[in-house]
Amino acid sequence: MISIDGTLVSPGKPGSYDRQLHGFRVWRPEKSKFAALWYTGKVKDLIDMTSETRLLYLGAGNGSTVSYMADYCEVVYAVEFAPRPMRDLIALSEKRDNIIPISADARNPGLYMPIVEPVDYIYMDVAQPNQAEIAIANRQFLKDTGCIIFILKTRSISVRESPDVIMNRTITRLAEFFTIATHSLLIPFYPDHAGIICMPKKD
Amino acid sequence: MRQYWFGDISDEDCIPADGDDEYFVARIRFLQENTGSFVPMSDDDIQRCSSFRTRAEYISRLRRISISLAKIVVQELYQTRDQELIHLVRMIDELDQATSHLSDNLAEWHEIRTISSYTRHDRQSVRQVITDLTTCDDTVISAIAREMVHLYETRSLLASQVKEIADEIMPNTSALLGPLVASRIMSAAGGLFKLAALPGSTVQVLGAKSALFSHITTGSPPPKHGIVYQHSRVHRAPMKRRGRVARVIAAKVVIAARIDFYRKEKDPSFLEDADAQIHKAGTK
Repeated sequence: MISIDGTLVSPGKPGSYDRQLHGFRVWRPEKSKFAALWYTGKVKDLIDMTSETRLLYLGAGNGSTVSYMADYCEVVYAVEFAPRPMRDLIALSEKRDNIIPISADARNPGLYMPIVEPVDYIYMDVAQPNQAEIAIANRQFLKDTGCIIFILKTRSISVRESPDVIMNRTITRLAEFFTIATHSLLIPFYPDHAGIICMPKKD
Repeated sequence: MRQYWFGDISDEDCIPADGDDEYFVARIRFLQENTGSFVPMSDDDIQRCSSFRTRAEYISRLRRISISLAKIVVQELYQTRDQELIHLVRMIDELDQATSHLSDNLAEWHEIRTISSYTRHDRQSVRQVITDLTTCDDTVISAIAREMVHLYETRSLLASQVKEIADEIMPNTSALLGPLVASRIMSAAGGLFKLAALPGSTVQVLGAKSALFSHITTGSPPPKHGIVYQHSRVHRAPMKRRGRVARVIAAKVVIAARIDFYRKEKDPSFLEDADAQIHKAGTK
């Protein structure tokens, strides 16, 4: 990943809404949970997206984070379920040549099984109560060398428990299938969210 | 045999798929419905079995096809009538808010201009005042009043459309609650399917989000009712019985929504029975 004086940027062409730094697009932590994770967690040694990288993005929303990922990656398979953000996402993929929009439910990976190839990274940002199960169900798309970047929305799981407790419980579940490389709450940017990076367990 | 968008693969050989974009879109949809394979493809599969010579060609073709497919799926998701109903109901609510603000302002303004005509106590209904104002001498006020009358007419047009659609897609819920309240509840749930999947206790407090969360976080008394309050049986019930009536109605609404979603026809015996139980909850 490219950073200039500690500021995370992406190598895309800056649009009129983007902040610029030496001609690069500034990837702001206030706008994107991946950038927040980059600043708060120990991501720098674990994640490196290049022009060879293939990425499966679950919960693509209207595609703002997708657009940064696509600046780095060879191809982004962007899965989104809700029709409203999907329309924005389609508009974005018409402008970029490496975003594959998929209108499907991430809880049901069979729907995109005929389309998605093995990927280096799965980035997950879905607002569902069973986020850990979704990660587990989608791990079959991951290369042996790949890893999952899991943004945990604790408020989608419970509004009563503290984010810490929910994060630890999720990690315990994930640890049955994955090796957890790092985890942290996205404080101060998204206090109700956690970032977890995990690799498939080697048998 | 494993089937992917670019071709069919079996142990011995493979058959690359070939055709125009439309063919591929139809093919992917078919595979999605009849899940051809639960095994993810491998790089080797793509190289061995697709009719595309280069990686760039593979990606650009898949991108084009996926965009067409996504457009079709989005269109279909939007075409369900409950989604249309949600927007109609929101429109009515917005219109109500707007007309209520405007009419209050207009009536007050008029009071200032014509000191003797209306006082707060013997005021006619705002609606009547506005109808009268359309013919008053003040050109500005009468112009606004005419606009307002127009808005009221639009509102009743919208309401009749809501009734039409609600009676069609959720006949039981609509008969139980009245088309407008039924549509609001459905809209708060996010669709008929979602409403049919909710427990009665959730439906009871749909629309009372802030009260519910203040109950969960600070332990204030739980809300008795949300949108169901708008049903006359709830808000006319004596204070002490409102919670009970709301609970019974919510339970019946969920059953009605399930009949609507899965059976799609009016069930008079259910409605009669539900009505009797709701009546009992309010009087005993």
